[in-house]
Amino acid sequence: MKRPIDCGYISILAIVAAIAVWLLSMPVCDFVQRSTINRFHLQTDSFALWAIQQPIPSMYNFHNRYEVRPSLRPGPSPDDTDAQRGTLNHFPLRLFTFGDNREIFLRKPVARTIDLTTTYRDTILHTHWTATPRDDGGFDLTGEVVP
Amino acid sequence: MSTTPPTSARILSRPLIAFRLVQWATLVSLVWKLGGFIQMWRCYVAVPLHQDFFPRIFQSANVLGIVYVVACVSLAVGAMTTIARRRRISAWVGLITMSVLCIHQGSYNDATFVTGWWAELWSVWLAGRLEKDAAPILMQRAARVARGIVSLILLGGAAGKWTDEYWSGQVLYEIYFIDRDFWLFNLLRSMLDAESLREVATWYSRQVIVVETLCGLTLWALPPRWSAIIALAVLTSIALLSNFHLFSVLLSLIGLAATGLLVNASNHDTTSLPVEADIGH
Repeated sequence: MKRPIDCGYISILAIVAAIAVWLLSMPVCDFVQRSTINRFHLQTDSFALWAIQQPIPSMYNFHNRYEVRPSLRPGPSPDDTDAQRGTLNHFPLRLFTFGDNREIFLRKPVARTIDLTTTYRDTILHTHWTATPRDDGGFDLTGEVVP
Repeated sequence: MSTTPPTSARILSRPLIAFRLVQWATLVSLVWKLGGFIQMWRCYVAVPLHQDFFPRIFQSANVLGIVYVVACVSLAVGAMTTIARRRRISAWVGLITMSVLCIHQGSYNDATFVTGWWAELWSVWLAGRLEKDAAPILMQRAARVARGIVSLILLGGAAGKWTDEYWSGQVLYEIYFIDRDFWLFNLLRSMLDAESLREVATWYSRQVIVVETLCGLTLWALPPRWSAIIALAVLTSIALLSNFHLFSVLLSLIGLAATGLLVNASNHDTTSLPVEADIGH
């Protein structure tokens, strides 16, 4: 039976193959590691660059740790008994942005900070985020990379 | 009286069955956590987050709610319609809405929409070929693309776990074993002391890494039916052994994987099912 040429079919397989190469190179390619970790922390250079990476599967990737505090003091604070610490499966800022977590951590109009650390082999990214209350009941969420 | 069916009546081909199967599976994946999504949306309305990174439209709770509903409607239409043009449009709407859900502030981290995006990319392609290609060839290609997608998703899970922390079990120990309220982890905590629990976490994590890696590297290359059976077993076990909520992520993949069972071993589509009129426009 004659097999017609199907550009859509070939294109999807090519996209799948290209992303597979990207994923397979992750353990050895600093660029891929850095791109994906930056994506996790919303630190990609532009929203458009971040958005086109979103179909790349990354479920339960990396070691993502958080520390939430009801204060504006940055950095680790082992003496801070109010801090909440834990590990997340991926995209650690979801702790403030996603679902019920937003309500749990931002129910009261009190400024909060969250420190996020993601590690993959020798690549580490640490970001510090501040949620500042607004008059409309919401928050301004700003973040910065901690050197 | 003549018993000849009307000329517009067509048989329900295997590729069309595959298409509908994936639409239904993806629709169920979206409504799997419906209660959670409604609660989430209410929370987003009550506590808006203003963040420079996301364009304003992708921070809006109303946009998120509308897009989610449109995605569900388009999937339902695609699953049920007998009109080819409507099927193609619904697949495109499904892909566009999944794209928005993948990049919206309130949903970007939920892998439900990533797997849904891949299912709808497959659907857009297949919907465009249903009236053009012979069913046996199209079914083979549809199953091949589906195998490639399922392999890729599992490879994506594996690649991010090729680290000492995962191989030692530390990450999954912290996520699941310490306090996750799920039947398996509750059972293990009730049976084991702390040291044994940590040991089990190590082997649980290594099993995840090995299975995801092997499936990611090989499923695409296996015969369709073998690939489908293995993928269905693995995808189902992931949710049953870690988190029932993961069915929302996995159901669209389960639908894609199941299309491998529709590939006829003899390469002849002789068993198309005379079910209903299917009108191509």
